[in-house]
Amino acid sequence: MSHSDDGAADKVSSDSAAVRALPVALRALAAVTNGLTAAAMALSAAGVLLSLVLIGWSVLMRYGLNRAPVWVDDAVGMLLVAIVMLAAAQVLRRGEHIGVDLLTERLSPRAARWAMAWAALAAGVVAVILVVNGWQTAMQSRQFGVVTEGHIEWPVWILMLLMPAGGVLMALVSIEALWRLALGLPPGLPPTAKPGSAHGPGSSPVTGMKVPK
Amino acid sequence: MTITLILVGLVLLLFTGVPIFAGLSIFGGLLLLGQGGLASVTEVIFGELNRYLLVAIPLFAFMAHVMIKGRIVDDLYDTAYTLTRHLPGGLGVATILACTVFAAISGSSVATALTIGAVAIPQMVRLGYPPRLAYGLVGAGGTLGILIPPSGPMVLYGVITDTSIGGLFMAGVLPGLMMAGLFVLYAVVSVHFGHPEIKAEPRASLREAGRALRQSVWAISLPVLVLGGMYAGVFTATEAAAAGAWLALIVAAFVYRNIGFKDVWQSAVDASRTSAMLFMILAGASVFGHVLTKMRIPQQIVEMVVSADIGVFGFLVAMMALIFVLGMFLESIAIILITSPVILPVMQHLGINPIWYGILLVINLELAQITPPVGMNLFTIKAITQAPMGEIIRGSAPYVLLMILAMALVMVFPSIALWLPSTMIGR
Repeated sequence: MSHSDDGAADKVSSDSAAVRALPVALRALAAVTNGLTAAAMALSAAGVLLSLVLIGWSVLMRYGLNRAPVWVDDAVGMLLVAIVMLAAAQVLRRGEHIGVDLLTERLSPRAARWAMAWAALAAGVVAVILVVNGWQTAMQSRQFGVVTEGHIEWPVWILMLLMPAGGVLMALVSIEALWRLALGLPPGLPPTAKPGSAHGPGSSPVTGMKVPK
Repeated sequence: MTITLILVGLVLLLFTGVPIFAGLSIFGGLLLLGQGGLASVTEVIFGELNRYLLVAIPLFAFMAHVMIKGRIVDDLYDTAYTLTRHLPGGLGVATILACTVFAAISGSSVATALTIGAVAIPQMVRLGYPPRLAYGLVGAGGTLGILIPPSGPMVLYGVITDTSIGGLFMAGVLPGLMMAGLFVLYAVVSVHFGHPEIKAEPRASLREAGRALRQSVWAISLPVLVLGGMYAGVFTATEAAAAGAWLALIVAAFVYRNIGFKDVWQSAVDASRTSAMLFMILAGASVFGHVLTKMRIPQQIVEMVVSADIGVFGFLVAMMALIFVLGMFLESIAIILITSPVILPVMQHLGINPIWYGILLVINLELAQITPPVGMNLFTIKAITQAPMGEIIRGSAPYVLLMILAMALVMVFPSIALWLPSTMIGR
């Protein structure tokens, strides 16, 4: 699990000399991607808090007033789709999606760049599938007037649009990564704290856990 | 033959370094194209993600972050040592106890090894414990994170195999405690006989023990609320996660008074990140699973197992061996999501209790955390200590054997896992 300050990391990244040295078009793309993925991440985090509030309220209503709001279960399930699709792009931008680096970490720097480009391309392909297939499916649902099953009958097409929305963000991140790699730069933002990376022995990196006397 | 080719192809693709979600999606997509077209592949992903039960994962992650940021767990290790310092290898025993309680809060092996290890390893080394012993204790103790509930892998396994998550959580308790007991026993015996120069300290007085327990009462009470609520049938797994998160927030804000809005927000951001990492793999696995079903691969495996006539025990041993090998190279979540849907029909055919299999699977995935070349807890200890990897691996080796012993015990005596869920209220 990661625990560094998101905003601070973004600021450090955007202030760096390396960023200023980028071509104007790439800088613009990086700024747009940074802004959109940060906004999407904020919405995703808000989704987590909203789920917490809704479920807490549902439990209180059930045990306190014996009136369980039956729609909450459906709503938080849908919220989860939003949480995932909106956060996925920033996680990709930070290179935090889980992968098998057993072989790639042993590659020469040049070969490693090719491997990173391949990984960015693969993520880009998935993003395109999400955009194209997601859009088509959403429009089909709209055409047939499909609504969600369960207690709340929401139009499925509106919810389905979360897939292409997440896909667009991921596609932007992939394009930025490929462009950066073509210029010999790292593909994205530095990841948030890796296990133990920023912390010396003797103090817990995530807590101030006390040492027995 | 087809399934072997598919598995080998997938593993080769993953080894090229693509994110696992992308590898699964692309490989599944290619197979789907071979079956006639992508059709509504995003609908499959949407349906897989749109599940109420899965919301437990971000909420448990949020709860753990709040506990950590609110410094509710700070006194855990100190408390454990006060209670165990009179035993041979008392600090090692305290390490395992702290790992056990932290596991019941974090639900993550890496977080457990990282948090406890950064404090415990230097302290054990300072008091004369051989570094190898210290690395092994933390590496193995950390793995308890995914067996002792709450556990992210158990939630995912429960959702994709349609197995009670509350039942799985309860089933993890006794094997988790049994394994912690085996680790403690090993620590005591290895220090008592192998390192008599490490002296035990005087036993804590009742007053000291009481004070130590009071220090950690909130850290201990949280798992009690979460597990107790599920056991008593008061909460579903998702509601228990929300209740735990609310209690963590209340304790951090009003008892410890060291958490602000910024920390709460950052905890939500971190929980979102964790969810995106896990659930994008689930999205990819749903595409992969969808095409395997279309190709009737699970049915082919059922026919293969039936014709081989290997029986329940033979099947379980073969699966555990396969997962042990996969665990050396692949990430735990990917293993669950790739293998479980494929073998589910076989389990149903052979009448294997999915909760029992789930616990065996999770113990095996714990092994994966400390077996090279890809063992997340090994990497975590390396990151904390900068010790040579060979030394860390050798330190963990005895615990690999202990875990295999624990797995064998659960395999031979299923009631170790199944007894507690069978007593659950409203199961």
